[in-house]
Amino acid sequence: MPPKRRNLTGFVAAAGVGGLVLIPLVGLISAIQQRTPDPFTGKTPQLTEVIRVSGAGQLLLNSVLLSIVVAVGAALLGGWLAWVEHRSEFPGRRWLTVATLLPLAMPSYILAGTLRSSLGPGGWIGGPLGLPHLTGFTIAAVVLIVVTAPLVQLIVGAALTRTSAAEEEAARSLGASPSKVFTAVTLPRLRPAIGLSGLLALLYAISDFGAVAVLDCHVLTWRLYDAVRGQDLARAAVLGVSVLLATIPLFAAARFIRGNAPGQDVANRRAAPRNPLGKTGIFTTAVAILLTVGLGLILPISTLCLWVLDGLERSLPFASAWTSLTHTVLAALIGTLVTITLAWLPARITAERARRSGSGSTSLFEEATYITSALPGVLLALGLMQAALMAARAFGGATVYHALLNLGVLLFAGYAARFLAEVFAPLKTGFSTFDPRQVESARVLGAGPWKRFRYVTLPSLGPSLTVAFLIGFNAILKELPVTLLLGGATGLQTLSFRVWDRYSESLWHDAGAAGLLIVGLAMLAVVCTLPWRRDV
Amino acid sequence: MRSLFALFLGVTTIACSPDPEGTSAEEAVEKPTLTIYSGRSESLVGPIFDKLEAEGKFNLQVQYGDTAEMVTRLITEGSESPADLIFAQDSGHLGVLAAKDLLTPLPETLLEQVDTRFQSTDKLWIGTSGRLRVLVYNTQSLNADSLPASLRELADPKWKGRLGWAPTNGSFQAHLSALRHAWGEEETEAWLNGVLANAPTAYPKNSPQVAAAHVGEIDIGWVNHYYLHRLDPTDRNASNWSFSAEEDAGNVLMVAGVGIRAGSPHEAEAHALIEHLISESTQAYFASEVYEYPTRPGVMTHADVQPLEEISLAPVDQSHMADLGPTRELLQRLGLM
Repeated sequence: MPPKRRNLTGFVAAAGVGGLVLIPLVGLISAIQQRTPDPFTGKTPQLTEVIRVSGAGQLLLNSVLLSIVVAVGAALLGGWLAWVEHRSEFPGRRWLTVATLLPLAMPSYILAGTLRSSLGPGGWIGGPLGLPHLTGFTIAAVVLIVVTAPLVQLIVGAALTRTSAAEEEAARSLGASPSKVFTAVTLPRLRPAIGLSGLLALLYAISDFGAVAVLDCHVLTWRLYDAVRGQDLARAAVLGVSVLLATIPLFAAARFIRGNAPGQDVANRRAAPRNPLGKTGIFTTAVAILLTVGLGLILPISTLCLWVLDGLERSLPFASAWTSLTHTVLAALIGTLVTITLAWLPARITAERARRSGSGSTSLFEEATYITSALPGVLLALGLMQAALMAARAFGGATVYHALLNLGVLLFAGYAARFLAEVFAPLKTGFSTFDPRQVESARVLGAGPWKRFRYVTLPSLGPSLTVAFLIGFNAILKELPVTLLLGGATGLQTLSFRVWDRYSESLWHDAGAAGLLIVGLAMLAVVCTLPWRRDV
Repeated sequence: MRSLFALFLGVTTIACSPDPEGTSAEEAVEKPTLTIYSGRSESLVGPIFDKLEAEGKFNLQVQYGDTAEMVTRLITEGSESPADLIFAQDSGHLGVLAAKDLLTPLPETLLEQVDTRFQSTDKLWIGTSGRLRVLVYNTQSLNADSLPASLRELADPKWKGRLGWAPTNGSFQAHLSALRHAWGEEETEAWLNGVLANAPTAYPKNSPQVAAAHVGEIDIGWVNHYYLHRLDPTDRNASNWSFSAEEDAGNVLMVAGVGIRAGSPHEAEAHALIEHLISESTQAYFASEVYEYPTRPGVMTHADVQPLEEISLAPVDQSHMADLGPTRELLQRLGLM
C-alpha cells in the first residue's frame, strides 16, 4: 500500500475508534429529543428553563472553578512528586513515591467520607483537636487534588524518564544555573505531559459526584444526578451537554499549556542523574507527602482498619472476598486491555501528525476523545444504553440489546468511553517522544513486524504503556456507575460495588474490608509495574 | 456468575443458546430466569435470593443499583427491558413506574396478605417491609423530656446548630412530599425556612447522620429508624425518637416494595417470587436481620425496635410520597440541592 493511502486508512480507523466514545452523546441527544411529559404534572419540560431555573448557572460556574483549582493543584502537587520520584535522592524515596500513587485507587466518596468523619467535630482526630465541620468548596478541592495528583505524577514521570540528560548537561556546561536549566530545557519538554495530565484532573473533577456529594459542595453534578434520580434523563442530558460546552474553553487553556514543543526523538537515551534535595525541596516534599500519603492514604486506611477491627471485635459476618476479588481483577484487566487497544491507534496517529506538522498542536479529533470524560459516569452509562437501545430497535429488537448487556459488550464499551482519555494521554505522550526511525532501521535490518514491536516499539514505549495500564486498571478498580448500570447483567460484583453496598447500609466493617482489598490490589499493580516505569 | 462465564464464551453462547437470556433449553422449559432490578442492597436482600436459588425454587438474575437510577434505567429501556421485577427501596419510585404504566396489576391473592396501608391503591405494587421516619438523638446531651413533641418543633430556634439532615436523600424527599400534601405548600416551605435558620448540618444520606449523633457531632438527625440498630447496642450513645403528637405527619412509614414490569413474559413465576417475599419466613427475616417493620400482619418486629402498634402512624397516602417533582423544585429554590 502506498504510504499516503496507508496513512489515510490509519486515520480513518483511528477516527472511528475515537468516535466510539461519542456514541453516548448520540444517545443523550436522542434522549433530549424524546423527552416525555412529567407523569404527575403532565408538563413537558422546556429545555431553556432547565438552565435558567434554580441557579444552574451559578452551579456550573462552581463546577468550572472547582475543576480549574483541582487541575492547577494536581499539576503542582503531582508534578513535584514526579520530579522527586525521578530526579531526586532522599531516604525512603523509593517507597514514599510508590505510596503517593495509591490514592489513585481510593473512591472519592470513601476518601471524602473518611476525612469528614475522622477530622470532623466528632471524629477521632477532629474531636480532640476541636475541628469544625469539614464541608464545602475548599475541602472538596483538597480531596479531588489528592486523588488526581497521582495521574500527574505518573504521566509527567513517564515524560521525565524520556527527557534527554545530554541536553541538560550541555546547558549546564554552558554556564546555565540549575533553575535556568529547568525552565529553559527541562520544562518545555514536560509541557505536553503537564498539560495533558492537568486536563485529566480537570475532567475528573468536573465529572465527580462522590466527593462533592459527601462534602456538601454545591456544583452542577448535583443537579445532574438529581435529574437522573428524578427519572428526567432529558434534563440530565441538557445539563451534561452544558458541562461539555463549558469545558471547551478549558481545553484551549490546556492546549496553551501543552505548548508547541514538537515531540523529541531520543534514540540513545540515558538516565539523568539524581540530586539530593535542598532545604526548600525537603520542606515542599514533606508537605506534598503529608497531603497525598497522610490525607489520601494513611487517614482513610486507618479509618477502614478501625471499621474492620470493630467488626472483628463484635464478630460481625464478613462476605467472602474471593468472588469480588476475582471479578474485580478480571473486569479491570479486560477493561484496561480493551481501552488501551482502542486508544493505541488514535494516540499513535495524533502523535505522528503533530510530529509531521512540526508542532505539538492537537486536532479536533483528539479533543473529541477527551470530551466525553467530562460526563459523570451515570450519564455516560445511560447515554450508551440509550444508543444501544436505538440500535437494537432498528436492528433486531430486545434480543440484540439483551445480548449486548449479557455479553458485557456495553460494560466494556462503557469503561472504554469513560477512561479512553485517561489511557490516551500517557500513550500519546509516549508516542510523541518515540523515534520512528528506529523502527525503520529495524525493518531495513530485516526484522519482522512482531520483532520490531517486541524489541523496538515496546521497550521504547514501556514507561508510557505501563502508566496507561496503571491509570486504566486503578480507574476500573474503583468505578461504580458504569459497573452497576451496564455490568449487572454479566453478574459482575466488584469490590467497589461491595464498598458502596455496605457503606450505604452502615455495614462499615464489610465496607472497610472491601476498601482495604481495593487499596491492596492497587498497591500490587503499582509495585509489580515499578521496573517498567522507573529507571531505579 | 453464569453470565460472566458467558462473557468468555461470547459468540459460542449466543450461537448455541436458543434463549437470548443465556439459559439452556432444558432449564427454560422448567424454570425461566427471572431478572430482578433491585434498588435494595445486596447485603440486605441477597441472602433471601441466594437461599431461594439454593433451594432450586428459582433461577434468578439480580441486578443491584440505586433505586432511583434503576427506575430511570427501566423507563429508558421501556418494553426492551430485561427486567421482570423491580424491587424498590421506597414506594415513591414504584409510584413513578405506576404513573408511567410500566407495572402490571398484582393478583388479589397476594395483595390480601399484606396490610392495606402498605400497598398501591391501584394494585400495581406491594410493600415488602417498612422503615419508620424518626429522629435519632445523642443520648448524652438529650433525654426524652427535652425532645421535640412534633416535627414542627424542629424549626424552634433552640435547636440552632444542633441538627443534621440529608436533603438529597430519597426518604427525606418522600417524607417532605408527604408533608406538602398534609400541611400544604406554604406551611411546608415556611417550616423548611425555619429549620434552615437553625443551620442544620447537611449529610449525603441517613447513615452518617446516625454515626454523627452517636459521636455527638450533632444532637439530632432526621433519619430512617433501622441504621441505629447496626450500632453496637452495648456501646451506643444514640437512640431513636418517634413523635408523640398525633396528626403531625412526623411518624411516617417508608415502604419498600416490589412490582412486576408490564410485558414481563414470566408473570406467573414473578407472582411465586413475590409470594416468597411476603411469606412469614421472609417477613421474619426482614424484622430480625434488617430491623425493618414487616408488612404482613402478625409478624413480630425485632426486640430492639419499637413495635409499630406503639406509634401513632400518620395516615399518609403512599402516592403522595411519589409526588417528588415539586419537592425537588422547592429544595432547589431554597438552595438545598
